[in-house]
Amino acid sequence: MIERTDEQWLSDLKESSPHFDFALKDLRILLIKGLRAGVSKWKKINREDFENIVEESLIKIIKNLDSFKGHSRFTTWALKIGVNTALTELRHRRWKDVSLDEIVESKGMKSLLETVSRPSYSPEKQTIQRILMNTINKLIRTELTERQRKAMLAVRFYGMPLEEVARQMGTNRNNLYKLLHDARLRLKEAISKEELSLKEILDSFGSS
Amino acid sequence: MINSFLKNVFYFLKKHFTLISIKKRQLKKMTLNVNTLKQMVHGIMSTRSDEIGCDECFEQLDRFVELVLAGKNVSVAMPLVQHHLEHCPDCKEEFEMLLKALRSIS
Repeated sequence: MIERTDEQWLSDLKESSPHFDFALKDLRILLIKGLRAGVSKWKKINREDFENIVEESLIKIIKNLDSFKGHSRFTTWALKIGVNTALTELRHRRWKDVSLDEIVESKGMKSLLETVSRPSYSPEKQTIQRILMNTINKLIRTELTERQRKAMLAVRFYGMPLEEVARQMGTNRNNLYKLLHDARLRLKEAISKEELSLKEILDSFGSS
Repeated sequence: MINSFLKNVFYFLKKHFTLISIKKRQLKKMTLNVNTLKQMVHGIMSTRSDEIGCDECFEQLDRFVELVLAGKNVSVAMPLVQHHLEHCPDCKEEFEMLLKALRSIS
């Protein structure tokens, strides 16, 4: 693999360049090496899937060369696109058969109502944690919209990726983050009006 | 006589191990809930009005990860990206995977 400056990568990866094929080959090697290490925790990815992810990443990189602004090295930028492509695909595969509505219905508020106490916490801290849980439970029901409530339950309590929640809610990840951000702001304001002080809240999770 | 003794031993062991199993499950459940509550409270109480979204975070992630690799203090250099990563599990996962990928090629 040839060492290239950012300018050389950009120039060699133009389809009209005589070095295009070599540069593409080197970029593929780089992506394979980087992504293989990156996706190692995803056990169910086979060779063919992995190769498809690499090819899709290459297409995206070539298509978006003009958006490289030089804020990092070219290879870092290219790997960022590869990682995003890989995770989008892997998350979709893992969650595509999970229905957001079913999760929210089955999980509902039950998990919020379960005991949160742990023997290692002092009785006082367990009491504050219980009050806090009841307060959050109440505020989630009274202060949030249905969409905010649904998204928060799926992401925070079920660990569903924002990307998949967004897809099932007919929006995109950026908008879903904003929806959740508005929900958090609303809950923060509402909690500050409750009788619990911030110090009490934070202390309740300190050591017993 | 022996059969009856063996039956008793069998039932004792079954009950004993069932109880251990239930206790383990309960402990795991309770621990998980405390952590969930803790993360949720932290997420709510540390909310800022000027947070950036996932698109802007993605835009700046390559620069951010290079600063991390260079050992720079990113919470000072790029506080909004750092804050976003603390609140967005998807972007955090991408950051961690990118970091791992870059370390593997260096």
